[in-house]
Amino acid sequence: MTEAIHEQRRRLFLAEVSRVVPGLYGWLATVLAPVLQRGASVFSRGCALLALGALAGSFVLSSSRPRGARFLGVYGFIACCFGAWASLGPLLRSDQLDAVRGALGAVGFLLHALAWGAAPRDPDADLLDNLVAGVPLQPRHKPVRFASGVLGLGIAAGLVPVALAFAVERPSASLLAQTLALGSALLVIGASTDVALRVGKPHTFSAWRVRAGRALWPLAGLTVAVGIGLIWLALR
Amino acid sequence: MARALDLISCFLVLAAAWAFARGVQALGERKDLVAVYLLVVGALCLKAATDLLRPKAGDA
Repeated sequence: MTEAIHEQRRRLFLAEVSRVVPGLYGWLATVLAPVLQRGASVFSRGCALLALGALAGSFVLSSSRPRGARFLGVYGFIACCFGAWASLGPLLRSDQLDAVRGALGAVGFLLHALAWGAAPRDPDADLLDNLVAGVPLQPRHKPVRFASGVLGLGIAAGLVPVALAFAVERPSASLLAQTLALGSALLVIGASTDVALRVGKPHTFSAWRVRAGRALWPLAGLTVAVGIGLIWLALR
Repeated sequence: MARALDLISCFLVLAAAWAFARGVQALGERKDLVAVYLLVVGALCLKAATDLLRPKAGDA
C-alpha cells in the first residue's frame, strides 16, 4: 500500500515537471535570448525574471495550492512574457530574430497551453482508488483506423502555414502572417478533429443527399470562388 | 456514396490547409489580394468539410 502511494506521488511529481518544462523551453527560446541582447531595457529583463519566477512558483505550489499554481503558471507567466516582449521595442523586429529558434519556442508555448489545459488536480483524490467495480462500459462505436490517419494528416497539414509564416520577411506583414497562420492552424486542426470523429459512422448519418444539401452554401461559395480564380488566371 | 462524401470532406480539409499555406506565402510575396482570396477559399473548404459530416439532429 505504501509502495503504491509512493508510486502515485512519483507519477504526480513527474506530471507536474512535464507541465512546467514546455513553458521553460518557450521562455528560454523566445524570452531569455531577446532580453540578453545589448540595449534591452531593465524593465524587460525584470519581466523576464518575473516570468521565470511565476513558472517556478507554479511548480512549487502545484501540490499545496493548485489554484494559485494555475494562476501563476497561466496568467502570471504569460503576462510577464508579454511584458518582456512589449518593452523590447525595436529589438523584437522580425529581421533580428532567429526564425528556427522562434518556431521552436512557439511550439514550446503551444505545449505549455496544452499542458495547462487540463483541469486542476486534487492530489488527495488521485491517491484514492476510485475505480468502480463492474463490467467496463462499452463505447457506442469503435473509432475506425482511418480516423487517426485523418487526424494525424490534419495536424501535419495545419502546421504547414505556421512554418511558412516564419518565412515572411516584410516587417509590416510578419505579425499578420503569424496571426493568420496560427488561426488557420487552429481551424484546420479543429476541422480535422471533427472529420476524424465523424468519419466511418455511416449508420448514424443521414442520406448522402441530405448531407450534401447541408453543405450546399459553402460548396456553392467555393465553386464561385474557384470560378472567379480561374477567370482571373485566364485574364492575366 | 456516403464513403465518397467522407473522402471529399477529408480532401476539403487538406485543400483548406493548402490554401491557407499558399495564402500566408502570398502575403510574404506582397500579393495581398491573392492572399485574401486564398484565405477565403480555405475558409469555405473548411466550412464545406465540416458541414458534409454534420450529423442530423438527435444523432450522437
